[in-house]
Amino acid sequence: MNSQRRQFSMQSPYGRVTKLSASAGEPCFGVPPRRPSAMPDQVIAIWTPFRAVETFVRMIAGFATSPFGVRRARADDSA
Amino acid sequence: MTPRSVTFERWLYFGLVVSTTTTASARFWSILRVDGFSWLKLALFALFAVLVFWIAASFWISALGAYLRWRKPSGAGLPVPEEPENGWSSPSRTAIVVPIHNEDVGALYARLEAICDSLEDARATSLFDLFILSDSTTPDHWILEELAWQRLRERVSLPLYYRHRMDNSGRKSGNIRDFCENWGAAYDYMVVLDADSLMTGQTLARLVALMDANPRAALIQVPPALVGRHSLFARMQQFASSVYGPACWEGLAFLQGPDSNYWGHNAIIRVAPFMQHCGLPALPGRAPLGGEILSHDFVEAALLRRAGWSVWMAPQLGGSFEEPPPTLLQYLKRDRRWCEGNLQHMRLIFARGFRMPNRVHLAFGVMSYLAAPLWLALLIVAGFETFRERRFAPVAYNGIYPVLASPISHQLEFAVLVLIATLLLFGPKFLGLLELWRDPERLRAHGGRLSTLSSVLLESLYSTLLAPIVMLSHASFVLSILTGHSTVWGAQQRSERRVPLLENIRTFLPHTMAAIAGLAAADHFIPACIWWIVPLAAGPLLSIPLALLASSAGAGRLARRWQLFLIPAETGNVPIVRALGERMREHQQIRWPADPVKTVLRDPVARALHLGLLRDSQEAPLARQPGWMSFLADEAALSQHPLREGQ
Repeated sequence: MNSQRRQFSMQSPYGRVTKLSASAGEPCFGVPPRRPSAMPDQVIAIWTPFRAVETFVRMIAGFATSPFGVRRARADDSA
Repeated sequence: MTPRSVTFERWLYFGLVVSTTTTASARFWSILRVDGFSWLKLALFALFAVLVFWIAASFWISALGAYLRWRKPSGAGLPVPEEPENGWSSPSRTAIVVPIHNEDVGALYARLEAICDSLEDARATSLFDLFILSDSTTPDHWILEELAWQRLRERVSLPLYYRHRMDNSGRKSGNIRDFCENWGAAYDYMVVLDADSLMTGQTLARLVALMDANPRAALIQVPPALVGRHSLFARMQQFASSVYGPACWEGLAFLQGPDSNYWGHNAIIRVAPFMQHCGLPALPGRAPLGGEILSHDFVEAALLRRAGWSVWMAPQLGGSFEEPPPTLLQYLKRDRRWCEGNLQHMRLIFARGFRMPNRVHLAFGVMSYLAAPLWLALLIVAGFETFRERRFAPVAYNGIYPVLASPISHQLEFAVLVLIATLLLFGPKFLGLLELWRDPERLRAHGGRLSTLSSVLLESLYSTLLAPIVMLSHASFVLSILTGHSTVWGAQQRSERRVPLLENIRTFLPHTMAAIAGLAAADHFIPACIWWIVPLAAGPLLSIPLALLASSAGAGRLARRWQLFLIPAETGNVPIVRALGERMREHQQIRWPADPVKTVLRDPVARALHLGLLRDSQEAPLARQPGWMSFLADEAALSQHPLREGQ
């Protein structure tokens, strides 16, 4: 490991290799420490003939009250 | 900031598209209805109506955008934040993430360096960390990326990270997902860049300020202008994007408001809602229409909107660029991938819970490829119908019984139809030109009135020749996808190497043959109409020489010398593009190892770097193989390796 540490201060045509910490347990240098968190798969109910008709009816029904899905600006839009 | 309601404008837009379609279709029907009804005529009419609707939809977006730009300030989208006197600051932390896959390492790092330098100039480096997220599959790319990363991190002041992934699941969206799952919790926002993306420091800082100021905004897309290529084909695309693009983007931003779309890169994303709502499931069934969602961006925007977050487009920010494909061949290869992704969206248009504007986005994405087989079908059906009616006189008569010789000519109807079609197809180009002429500074940056007029005329001629070539290609893509053929995820060819003649011939020979067959059939069966067919067949007939000429960087340079297709990035008015040119030249001077794997074995510095990064990638399969790592770390074992001694 010591020999590796010496190598880290060497100059190369691609730059000087510094700040490396190759031994286990030391902070990573390629990436910051991981903070794992989940990204759950979403449920997307895709096309079926029945759903197309249902969606179409909903769209027509919704069109009268909210054309093109537009809603008026709400207070929580403001910053 | 309060988002304005655009209900009236959307109704107006919808009304204009429908009335244009109705007017043109009524004219067409008045021609078709003579001599009675047939199923062929009905099919022709239906195809015509759908396609006119499609081109009218594009025309009115550009027309609205040109009007808005004419009437400055347009009020579209979010207001542009000004730079504070004491420099940019933010309570938030932003990661710039760059997913890559077997890219040209020198060009990639030159772009990253130009972005980092621009952030320094904008005094905004403290706001960002930069992550290079590599999905590269060849050891050469992987090792070169590490060496170039090491070089760049010595030269820039913002934290620069490199992560290599051995398991490429989910392709680009999987790569971003991997970042989110490992480091997303540490960041408020992420800016997603492609390998060929370029964004100025000011624009990046403004995006952060906009997100800070709009807590319900989950995503802001800055439309990228095309820059950085030299081939004739690419320079024409760059010119078109620079002159016609702004009106189109303005119109889109205005009509969409908080229902805008995501184009996959050059956008800032609020990480928490993205992670909560944008985990993409695999679609049921097998590829190409099932499996992984390929065109993930439209779907992610729809999911964010479904969850109640707003998605904006901000063309007014500027400072956002990408490179076009250098050749027609590469353009079509990219379209083959996009076509597959967009056709998958057919299954999502009616997905439960999506909002109407997102359904429209998905439908327009599908239609941008489905239009090609529809145009082809229109031509074929029109040919059959003309053949069927060839025995009739080219005039009709008033009344049921043509006793009185009172002929009605259809020339006027045809002339009106041709006029409408020309207006819809070429109108946006000339609106863009007029709008450019009103701005002396922009006009100068594009070379002046004569230069821009000549460029628009030539680009229009070229796009007229190109359209039937693209139509034939897209029609074959759609056919191959619907018959179950999937594409492979290859690296994008971004370098401007000339396409070999044989590859060009192999790709475009079918187009040439189709043109010859079409002309021969027309000459034999409907000779009176041959001159209607010639302009359509000219592009495919000449596709091989056209593609060769267009892919030539020499032809591009010649056009530039003649002041044709100039854009501000070429006339020196865009500092980051100028800086990129300097960085590119520097990177070309670097003697990267010809055999990177040998370099890792021979050069202790490169080996130490590779080992260090491998130890970081605890999840990488190679890192789990102690044999590989201990071998690299063992000087004695390495000294016995044949490659070490230069064999």
